[in-house]
Amino acid sequence: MTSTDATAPSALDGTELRHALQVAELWLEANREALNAINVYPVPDGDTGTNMLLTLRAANAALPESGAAGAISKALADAALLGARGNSGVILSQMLRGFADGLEGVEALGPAELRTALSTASAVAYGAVPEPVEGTMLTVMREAAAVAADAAAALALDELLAVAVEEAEASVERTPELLPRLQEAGVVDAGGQGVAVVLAGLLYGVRGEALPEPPPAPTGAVDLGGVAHEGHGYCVEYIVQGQGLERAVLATELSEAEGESVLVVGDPSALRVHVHMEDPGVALSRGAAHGGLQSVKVDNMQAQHESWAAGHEDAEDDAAPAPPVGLVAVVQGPGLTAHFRDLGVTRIVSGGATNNPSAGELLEAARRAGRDRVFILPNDSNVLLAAEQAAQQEPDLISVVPARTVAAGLAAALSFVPGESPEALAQALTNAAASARCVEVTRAVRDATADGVSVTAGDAIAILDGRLVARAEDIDAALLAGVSQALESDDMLELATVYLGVDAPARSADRVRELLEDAHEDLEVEVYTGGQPHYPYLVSLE
Amino acid sequence: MSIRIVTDSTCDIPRDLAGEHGITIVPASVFFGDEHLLDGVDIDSDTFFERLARESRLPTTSQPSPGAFRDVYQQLKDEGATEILSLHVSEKLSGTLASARQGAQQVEGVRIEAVDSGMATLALGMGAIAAAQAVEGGASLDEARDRVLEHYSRTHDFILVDTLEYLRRGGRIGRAQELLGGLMRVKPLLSIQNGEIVPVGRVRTKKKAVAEVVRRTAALGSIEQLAVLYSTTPDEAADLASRLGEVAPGAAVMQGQVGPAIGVHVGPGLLAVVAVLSPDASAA
Repeated sequence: MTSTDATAPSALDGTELRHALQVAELWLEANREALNAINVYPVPDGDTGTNMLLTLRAANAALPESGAAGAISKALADAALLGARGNSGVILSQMLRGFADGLEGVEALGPAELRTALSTASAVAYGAVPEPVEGTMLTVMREAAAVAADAAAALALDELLAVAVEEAEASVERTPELLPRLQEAGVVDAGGQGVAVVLAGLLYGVRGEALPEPPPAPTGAVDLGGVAHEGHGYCVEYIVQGQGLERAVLATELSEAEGESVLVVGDPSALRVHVHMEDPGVALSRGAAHGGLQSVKVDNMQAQHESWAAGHEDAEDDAAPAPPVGLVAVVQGPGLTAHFRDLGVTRIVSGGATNNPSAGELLEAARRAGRDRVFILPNDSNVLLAAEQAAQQEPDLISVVPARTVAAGLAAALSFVPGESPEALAQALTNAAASARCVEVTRAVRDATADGVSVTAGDAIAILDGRLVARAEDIDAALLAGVSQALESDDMLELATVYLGVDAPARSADRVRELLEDAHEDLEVEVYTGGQPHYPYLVSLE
Repeated sequence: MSIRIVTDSTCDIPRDLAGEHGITIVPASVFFGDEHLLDGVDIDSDTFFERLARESRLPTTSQPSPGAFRDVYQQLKDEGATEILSLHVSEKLSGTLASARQGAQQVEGVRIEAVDSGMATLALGMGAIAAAQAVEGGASLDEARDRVLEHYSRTHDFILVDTLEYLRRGGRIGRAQELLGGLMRVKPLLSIQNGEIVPVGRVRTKKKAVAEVVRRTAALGSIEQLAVLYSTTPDEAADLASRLGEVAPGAAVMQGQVGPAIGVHVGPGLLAVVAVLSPDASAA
């Protein structure tokens, strides 16, 4: 990308900027799976590529056909604010906000304007993150902007952008030096890589070059939850258990049966399958021919889409008037949803680790949840920033409770007493969220080392408050190890509430209770059906 | 001038302490089926909670009758009382005050001031003691009444029940209904505010609940007097009292057991804290 295309414009008017942004979106889409795959955690919570893409797509969709570069970028930033999902999407939206700030009143984007806009993009993004961490997309944008600012004054627009892209790519390579977690996992930062991809996409757009082949997504690292559920038909997921299973064979069969978004991962003894099909029966029978099916999940995507469009709410809910003080929780799984509702949550937004709702969806839910004050329980660290972005749109209405886990959200909801003043509630919910301990048990989706623990794809792992604390042969052993670690670290803990996920083995309730009670005789154990995806066991400890 | 203080048995003042301060306690009634027992007279707390655990049918309560109040007021008049300050359980929780007023109308030649404390149990009782002390110190009826109302304005309480079931069945649950958990077991934390039982929080375990009571009590400010109440767990009450002593050094701490009439509505396992703030702290 060092050659200058003779036809590259010296400055972009609004229409040309819009075109460049659309190319950037295409390039981001091409890189989506590669970005999703490089998660620092070997758990299915990485959808950086998906989140950044959906954010940029929502922003681009709002652009007028033409206008001044300043007006186009303002429309971009405004739409990105609400379309932002996931932490990476929120930070990207802040970069776009800064980009627009730098182009305010600008007719055409030339080299001088680009320097300014990249600098303000970096500054605004830093300002939006309470505790900026280096080795992330913030670093990549800052270093790219700094190099662009220092570059020779005579550079043409595309040359200057190429300098920024080159530095962004170099900066991405340096992210593991800044973030030990990345080094342990042997990857570069996915969000930082996403920034480089967006800048490179803009350059392709400015130069009018054809997009190259995207990098292949590493196999075995694909995160099923990161797949966008678009279109019609049925989304079918299941696990095939058997012997000598061949991943590629089943994937090919599903594709030949006109399955879309086909993903088959796993090992010869168990394959996890995700496919979109018009006839869900075909998807199931193809799998059943290879082995026994487990954890079968079939969703009608059209119905899903409609309920999504309706704000994920039952019609019944919409009829009820909003209370003065409301509570919004981001949660997945029918059992967990029922528990949150039972505790007084007025609006549920479906989502979680791998299905991050956008700031706009959270804003919409909050507006329906309460008249005077609404608290949002993000319940996942990847939803927190989008919730804060929603709150900035309605600062008098919305407060975000910093609940980074489902357990923290449950604890906060538990402390929600409708009659209390909003100020007292804010304090109580925040304190409660901070006091909760959460153990999540799942399977590693890739080989990695994180938090000093080495895991192999397929290992059962336990995560305590966001930190990988144990690996084990099976999920029961991981559960016990995770709970034991939590108890060692906090002697106030006396009650474990276990939520069984969709992937929990059948008839787990009694076994899990005995397992934990036998090991810890002073621990009270309650087991409920949570129905959450990805985590066979989710434990709230208090 | 002779002023006497009257209250009802929901005040949970121990008999001997009431005697010391010359406070007359009018008993409510507790019924096990058709069996009628006078609260604290025919049945003490330990016997009551033993029977509560044993009997399948839940007991019920009834406020003292107007006649019971009339008889008490008449007797005090006969003993030489010229004025009576009659302090009672929150009007929103019981018809006791109305009974007292009706009883008062039937006694002539003595001024009877019946007052809604807006409180229950020792929160009511500690005010009655403060009123008695005011009278002992030479206060007039009006002064004693003003003093006790000011005392009640500084009184806060936290009530921790094992289950809301007793409050619900007794029809006293009020807004605490919002805390009734459906799916999960929860420990509700309640308070009496403006005469009503209101929810102030809920946690999952008793240990957490006690910690929350201590935290909230400490956050009230400078505390002059404290009382810790229990229904069936004196050891837990003693433990709570010592923890409160740490966060409110200098406050006098009373410990007491709720009587049968209150017991019907709270059940076993109750812990409650009454905190009376220092006058300067509550003014701030």
